[in-house]
Amino acid sequence: MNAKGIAAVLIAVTIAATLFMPISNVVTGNTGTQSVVNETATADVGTAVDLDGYEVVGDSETVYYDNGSGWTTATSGTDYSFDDNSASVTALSGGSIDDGAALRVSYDYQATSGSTTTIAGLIPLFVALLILGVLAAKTMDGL
Amino acid sequence: MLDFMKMTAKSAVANARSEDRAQTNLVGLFIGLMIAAIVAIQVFIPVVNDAIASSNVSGTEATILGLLPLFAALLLLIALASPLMRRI
Repeated sequence: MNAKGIAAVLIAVTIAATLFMPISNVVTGNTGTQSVVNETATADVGTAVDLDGYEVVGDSETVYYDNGSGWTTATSGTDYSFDDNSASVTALSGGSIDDGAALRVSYDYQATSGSTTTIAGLIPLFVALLILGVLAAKTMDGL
Repeated sequence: MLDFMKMTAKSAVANARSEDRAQTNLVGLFIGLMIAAIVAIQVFIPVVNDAIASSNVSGTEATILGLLPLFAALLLLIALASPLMRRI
């Protein structure tokens, strides 16, 4: 292998290695159970407000509201109802949350489960093996 | 002698071109796989899961749709595994 070839392999491996951490972060940040802290929304009394997550872990949500006098913890069933499947919060009429009040919702949701989590978790390992494989193969070729 | 030199030079140029192409392919492969991994995991899987959660599908339809993220992850794993099996 000539100098140009060596440089190209090193560039390829550097690109792959640089992208390894983002890949690893993307996998860990989007698979399994994920926590969302203080997602903001605006209350619309009687109407469900959709949040970013889905498949929310039962009773993991905490809703805070601000009617203009600071943040207060809302009570499930009295102030709001929560749909775990679609991750939506509905401010209940007769509750303490005013229409248009600012909401902060913290919850855990199941980004992926079962085999998908297991297989997706293997992806960083395969990326690392690919980087190692390229280096090893090129070394064997006489790098 | 001149013919031999010309042939050697041509052969060297051909080898260099072929090697350049191989290295370009290697860089392209890495970049492609990394982009595919990020798009599949950060975009495809959450979007499909969100769509399933916010739609009213149930039974067999929900089961099949629920398998899509698994298949995306499998596809990605195979895409990463095949160059490994070929030892690049």
